[in-house]
Amino acid sequence: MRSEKGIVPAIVVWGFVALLLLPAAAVALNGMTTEWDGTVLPTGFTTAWFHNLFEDPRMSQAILNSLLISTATLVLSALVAVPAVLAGHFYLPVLDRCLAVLVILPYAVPGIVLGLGLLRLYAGNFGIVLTGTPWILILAYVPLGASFYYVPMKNNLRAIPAREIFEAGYLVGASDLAIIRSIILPSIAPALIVGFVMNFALAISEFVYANLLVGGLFPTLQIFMNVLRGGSGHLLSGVIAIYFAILLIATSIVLWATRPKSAAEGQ
Amino acid sequence: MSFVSLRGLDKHFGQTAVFTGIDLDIERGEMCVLVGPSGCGKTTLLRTVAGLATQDSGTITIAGRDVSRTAPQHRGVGMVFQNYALFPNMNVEQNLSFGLEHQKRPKDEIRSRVAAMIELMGLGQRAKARPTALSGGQKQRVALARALIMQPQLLLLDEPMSALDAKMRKRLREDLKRLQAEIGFTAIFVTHDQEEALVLGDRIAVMHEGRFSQVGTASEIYNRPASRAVAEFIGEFNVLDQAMVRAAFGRDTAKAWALHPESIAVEAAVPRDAAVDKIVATAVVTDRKLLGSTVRYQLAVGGINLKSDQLNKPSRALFQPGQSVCLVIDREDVRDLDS
Repeated sequence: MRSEKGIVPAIVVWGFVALLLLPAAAVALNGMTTEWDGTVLPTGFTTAWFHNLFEDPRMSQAILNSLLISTATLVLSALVAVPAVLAGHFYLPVLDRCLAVLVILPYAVPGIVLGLGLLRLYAGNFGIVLTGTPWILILAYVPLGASFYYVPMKNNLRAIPAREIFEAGYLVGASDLAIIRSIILPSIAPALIVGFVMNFALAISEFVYANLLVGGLFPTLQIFMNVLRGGSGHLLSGVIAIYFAILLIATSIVLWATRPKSAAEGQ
Repeated sequence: MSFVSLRGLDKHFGQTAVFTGIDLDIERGEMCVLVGPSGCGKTTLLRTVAGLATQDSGTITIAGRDVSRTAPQHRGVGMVFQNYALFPNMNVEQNLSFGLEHQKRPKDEIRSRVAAMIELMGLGQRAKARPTALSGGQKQRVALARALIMQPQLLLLDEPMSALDAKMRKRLREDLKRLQAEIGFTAIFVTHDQEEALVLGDRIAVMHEGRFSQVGTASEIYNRPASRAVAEFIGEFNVLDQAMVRAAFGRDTAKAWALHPESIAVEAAVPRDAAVDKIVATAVVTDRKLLGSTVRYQLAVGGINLKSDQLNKPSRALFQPGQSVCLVIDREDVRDLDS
C-alpha cells in the first residue's frame, strides 16, 4: 500500500461524501430560497421559511415530541437490550442463539402487521390502554432498536478475550458486576455508541408506526412533515433541514459524551 | 508438608478423563513446570488449581490451607493467561491497580506498589499505554506484573510465551528467572515447549494423557527418562524397541532403548581404543544439517533411522550424505525404558 496521499483515493472519498451530503444540502438550500423552479440555481434567498417554522407552535411541539420519543427509546432500549445481550453472551449461550433470531424478527414482519399487533396488545384487551400515547410508540421502537445493540455488541464481545478477562478479574477479587461495569462495557463502547446513535436516528426518523399508532394525538417531526406535504415545498425543506440539524447535534452529543477520556492513553 | 500439595486430583468431561491420579508437591520458592503435548490436560489442571475449573475428587493445599472448594479470589493465586487477558480499556497502571482497588487498599499504597512493580518490570516508558499499543513482550510483562502485584502465594502461568518469537521468549525466560530470584515466588508454569521446561523448571512434571509420566529435576528428566512417552517428548531421543535394537546393533535386550542424539559418536572408522563396553555399528549418512555449534546427522543403520548431534569443530571435516561411517555409543549412555 502506498503511504503518500494519492489524488484518486481523495476523489473517491470526497465524491462519496458529496453524494451523501448533496440531497441534504439541496433540501437545506431549498428551505432558504424564494424560488427554485426550472433553473439550475435558486433565483433568490430568504430566511422567511425558517422564521415561519420557528414561530409555528406545531413545529416546536413536534421537535419536543420527537426528542422525547427518541431519548426515551434510546434509554429504554439500552436498559433492556444491553443487559440481555451481555447475559446471553456470558451466562446463557442457548438463549443467546434465540436472541440472534429474535432481533431480526421485527424487520422480517411487515410494519403494518407489527403495528396492528401493538394496537391489539395495548388497546385495553389485556387491561393496558396505551393507544394514542407516546408510550405505545416507545414500546414499538424498543424491539426495533434492540438489533442495533445486538449485532455491534456481539462483534465487539467476540473481539476481546471476554472469558479470560472475567477470570483475571475474579482472581484479583472483582465481582461480575464490577468486571462488566469497569472493563467489559468500556471495552465495547464503540458498539454502544453505534446502538445509541442508531436508536436515536430510528426513533426520530420513523413514520409508519408513528402515523399508525399515535398520528395527530402525539405529532412527531415525521407526522408534522406529512401534514406539510400538501403545502409549500420550501417550508417542508426547512423542516427537513432542521431535522437533519437535530440528528447531527444529537449524534455529536453522543460521540462527545462517550469519547475516550484521554487520547494519549492509546499511544 | 510441601507448600503446595495436590493429592489424588481427578477430572472428567463426561466419560472422558482429563486428568487422573494427580499427586504433586511443590516447595516454597520453587518453579514447577508442567510440560506435555497439546491436549494432555495440563491447562485444565492449572485452571483447577486456580479454582477456575472444579476437580471431581482430590485435594489442593496451598500454604497449609485446603483450598479444594474455595472460590478463585480466596485461594491466594495469581494467574498469567496464554493470551494475557489484559483489560483492554485500561492503561498499564490501571491494569495493575485494578485488583488493589477492589481490595480497598489505601490510595498511597496502591500508587507506590504500582510504581514499584512498573519499575521492577521495566515498563516505565509504557505506564500510560493501553494494551493495544504494547508489543507481545510488553503485554506479557504487564500480565505478569498484574498477577505479582497482588502478592499471590502461588503464581500460575499458562503458556505465557507461546505467542512470542524465539528471541523474545529467550529474553523473557531470563527475566522470569531473575524475578523469581528477586521476589522468590512459588509458581506452576505450563508449557508444551521442552526447552522452556528444562530452562525454567526447578522441578518438571511431564504429563501424558492426563497423568504424570515423570516428575523430577531437569537433569533427571533429560538424562533418565522414566518411560517411552517422556523420552519421545523430551530431548529428541532415539527410541528403539527390542526389534529395532536387534536390527541396528545385533543385540537382544529385555527393554527398549533411549539414546540421546549427542550420545551417538560418528567416526570415519572403528576407533582402535574402542572398549568392550562400547556399542559399535556401521551406518550410512542419509542427511546432514548444520545447526550452528552442532551438526545433525541422519543415519541409517540396519534399516533403522537414527539421529546424531556432533560438535561442529572447524578442525573436523564433516561427513557427506551417502558416506559410510562408524557409530560408537557408551553403554552407560543407553537408557532402558519400561514401556
